[in-house]
Order: sequence, then C-alpha cells, then structure tokens
Amino acid sequence: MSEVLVLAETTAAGVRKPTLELLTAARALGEPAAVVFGDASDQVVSQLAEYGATKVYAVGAPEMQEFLSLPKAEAVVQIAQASNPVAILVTSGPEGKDVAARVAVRLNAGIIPDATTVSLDGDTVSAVQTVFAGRFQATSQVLRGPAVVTMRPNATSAEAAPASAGVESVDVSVSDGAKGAKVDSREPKVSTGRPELTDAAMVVAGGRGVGSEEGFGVIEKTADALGAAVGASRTVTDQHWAPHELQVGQTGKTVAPSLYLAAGISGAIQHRAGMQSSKTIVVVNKDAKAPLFQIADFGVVGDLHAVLPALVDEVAKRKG
Amino acid sequence: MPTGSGANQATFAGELSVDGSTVSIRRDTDVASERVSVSLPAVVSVTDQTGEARYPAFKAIMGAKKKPIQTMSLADLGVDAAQVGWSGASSKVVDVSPTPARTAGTIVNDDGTGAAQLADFLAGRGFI
Ligand SMILES: Cc1cc2nc3c(=O)[nH]c(=O)nc-3n(C[C@H](O)[C@H](O)[C@H](O)COP(=O)(O)OP(=O)(O)OC[C@H]3O[C@@H](n4cnc5c(N)ncnc54)[C@H](O)[C@@H]3O)c2cc1C
Repeated sequence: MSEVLVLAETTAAGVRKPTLELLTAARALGEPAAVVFGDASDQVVSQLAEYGATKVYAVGAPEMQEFLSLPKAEAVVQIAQASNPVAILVTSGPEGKDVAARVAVRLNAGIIPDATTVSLDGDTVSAVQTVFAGRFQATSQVLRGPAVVTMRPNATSAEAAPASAGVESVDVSVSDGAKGAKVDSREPKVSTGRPELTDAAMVVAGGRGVGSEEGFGVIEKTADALGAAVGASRTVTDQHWAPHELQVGQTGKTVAPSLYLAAGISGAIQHRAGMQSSKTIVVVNKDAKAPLFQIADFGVVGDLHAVLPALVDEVAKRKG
Repeated sequence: MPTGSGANQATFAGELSVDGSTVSIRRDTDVASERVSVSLPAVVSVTDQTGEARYPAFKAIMGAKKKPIQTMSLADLGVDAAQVGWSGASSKVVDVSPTPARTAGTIVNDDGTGAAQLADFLAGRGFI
C-alpha cells in the first residue's frame, strides 16, 4: 500500500481535530503518514498514531514557523519526492491552501481544493466538492499524481484506528526564495471557553433578528446552556455585534455540526452554504416565510427574545 | 521557491498596508492572528475583510470601454500548448449532480409553549 501524506496541524493543546479527520480519510487511500512541523512531542505522535498514522515525519527547522507557507511547501515536496505518496491531504484553511497549491505546482501534480470526501479507484484518486453555494456535488479525478487534496473541516468525522507510528526526522534546507514572507508576530486566538465553531458538535447562531450587540447575548446564553459553539450571520459580524471569526457562510466558516440552531437568521443562500450539511437544523424566526424554515427539522415561529430565554430555562429544568 | 514571477507572496490578507517597499498584512487563521511582511515586488491576495468595494461610476465604465485590449498568444507568452487546456489538465471533473434536497420538518407557532416543544425535540434527539 502506498503512503498518504497528511499535513498535521498542531497547537499547544495537541493535534487539531481537522487533522484527525484527514487521517481518517487517508486510511481509505493507503498508509497515513503524518507530517509535523515543529515539535513532534510524544503526545502529538501518540494522538496521530491513535487515528491511524503509521509514520510521522518531523520537520523541526525553525523556518517552518518564521515564514509563511513556502518553507513548509519545500519540506513537503522533499518528503514526497522521497516517499512517492499516492496522495497528499491538507486541511482547507488559509495556510493549508497556500501550502497545497505550492506543492502541487512543484510536483506538477493535480490538486482538488475544498473536498468533502476522497476515494481511491485502482490508482486513481477522486474527490467530491460541494459547489455553487452547496447546490451541486462535483466529483473530480486527479490525472497526474500525487493527488493533492485540501479537505474541508467537519466534512468527515474523525474515527480512531490505533496504529503504531515511528518518527522520522526530516532535515530540510530551506531556499532563500522561500523566506520572502516573514511572520512578524503570531497571536494565538484567545479561548472563549466555548467549543471552537468548526469543531463543535452543536452550534447556536444568531442573525439580524437579535437586534443589537446586547441582543446577541441571548445567543451566547443559549449556546452556554447547551454547551454549544456560537455562530453568526454576516449581518451580525458586519455590524460588529459579534467577531468576524464567528461568521458562518460562503465567506465565513463552513460548519456541519450535529445540531445547528439558527435564530433571527433569514436563510440567504450565502448563509446556507456554510451550514446546510448540519445533521439537525432548528430555526427560530418570527417570520413564518423565512426561507431557512424550508430546511429546518424543527422550527418555532416566534420572537427569539421570548423563545430562547424560555429554552434556557427549559434546558436548566431538564438538566436538573 | 518563490512564485513563478520571482515575486514574494502574502495571501489571505484581512488588513493591508504599504510602507516604502514593504507590504504588511494581517492574516487570520483558525488558531492565530498573524502579522506578516514581504518586500516588493509581491503578489498579495486579500479577503473581503480588507475594505468596502468601490464600484465604478457610469463615466468610468464608459471610459473602460475605450481602453485598448491586447491579445496574446501562447507563443507570445512562451507557453507550450501541451501544458495548457485539455492536454495539460492535471484533473478532470467526471460528475456533477444536485445536492439532495432537505425537506422541512415540524414547524410550530409560539403560543407560549414554543420553547417547551423545542426542548422536547432537542431532548428527543439527545441534545439536552
Ligand atoms: C458575496 C456575498 C457573500 C456573503 N457571505 C455571507 C456569509 O458568509 N454568511 C452570511 O450569513 N451571509 C453572507 N452574505 C449575506 C447574505 O446574503 C445575507 O444578507 C445575510 O445572511 C442576512 O443575514 P440575516 O439572516 O442575519 O439577516 P436578515 O436577512 O435581515 O434576516 C433577519 C431575520 O431575522 C428575523 N427576525 C427579526 N427579528 C426577530 C425576532 N425578534 N425574533 C425572531 N426572528 C426575528 C427576520 O424575520 C428575518 O428573517 C453574503 C452576501 C454576499 C453578496
């Protein structure tokens, strides 16, 4: 079985969930081998192995953190040229897309960005993309490998499949040309104590219907009662009622939680593009004609400022 | 490995400023907010956070119609025909089909019991 390179993303808390999803997807194509930039700690290695990594390439060179994307791309190209993988899986995000594009150009390989699933038929890698604001599913084949595929977080679920992974240190000499974009500072996002939007099993999202920045507080209270992440429509983030990183939709985050509870959101196509793959959709809106009701598993036609506080009380009652 | 043009690159800028021959950007990833600087010439890509679009006025639109358009051939650009189009493609779309439609479920009017009914639904699906 060929190797499948998985570009791992790690934080101080360990391996990020989208990476575990990539490892899960990689197992259908071959033997997952993770590439770790920076410290391949025992915790990181054992987490990767738990999700099926049979090998970990550890790239320790400080340039990986000091410059944007290109040193990582050079490292991946070097590893790929030596190990000849069938595919290279990367998380769709600013950095992943950057690195993936560079790697594909350098390897003269085909790339499929923003895939939701990936599969292998003979030697051919195919991937499915959700396109046209979620209205169509496009399946593409890579004609020249290794297939470079960036995958959307949350499109597949991460399932453990314990393996044992040996660590191989990789020495990379980074070219001067790759040192063009210097990272002057990197501030980790401050944790709100709530689940991260793209990782969360439940999301409570608010739209213009909350009325104001203070009004958005009812969304946060509902999310906290359920233990959910907080999301918002673009109207809300544009008005600065909530931070931009909470925006769900075509130009924001794509989420696919088990539960998406939308309150005061009309359901514009650009918003739906970011949430319509959610397993259960609940809508609270005072307008019975709001388009989001059409894809709701359960809907309440009513004022969110009445329904949500009452829901918080109900949840408290039931949780005892 | 610079871009093919030899220029530096800085991508996904949410904020952008130029000082002399240096471009500085802010770039937000899922886990961090980064400040990055590159020297010119540079290819910079931006997100919709960088600013409001300025839409052209009628006069500018009419003016644009009179601008010369230069046509270039592959040979002008020194590109081998085998590298582009069908023969150069490294991937191909084999199927496009509509996403299965979702159907609407139960919709209730809030007569004062909306929240309780919603809580029943959520509890029934194991969310509470
Ligand atoms: C290129 C482009 C990209 C875009 N990208 C995104 C994106 O990524 N994400 C996104 O969300 N949007 C995006 N949009 C904007 C999108 O088109 C909509 O304008 C936006 O989603 C509307 O937000 P909303 O539903 O909060 O507001 P509205 O459409 O104004 O809806 C507000 C809803 O709240 C209801 N309401 C009002 N008061 C109450 C109350 N007291 N109780 C209950 N309900 C109430 C109303 O009935 C209404 O249905 C994009 C648009 C463009 C053109």
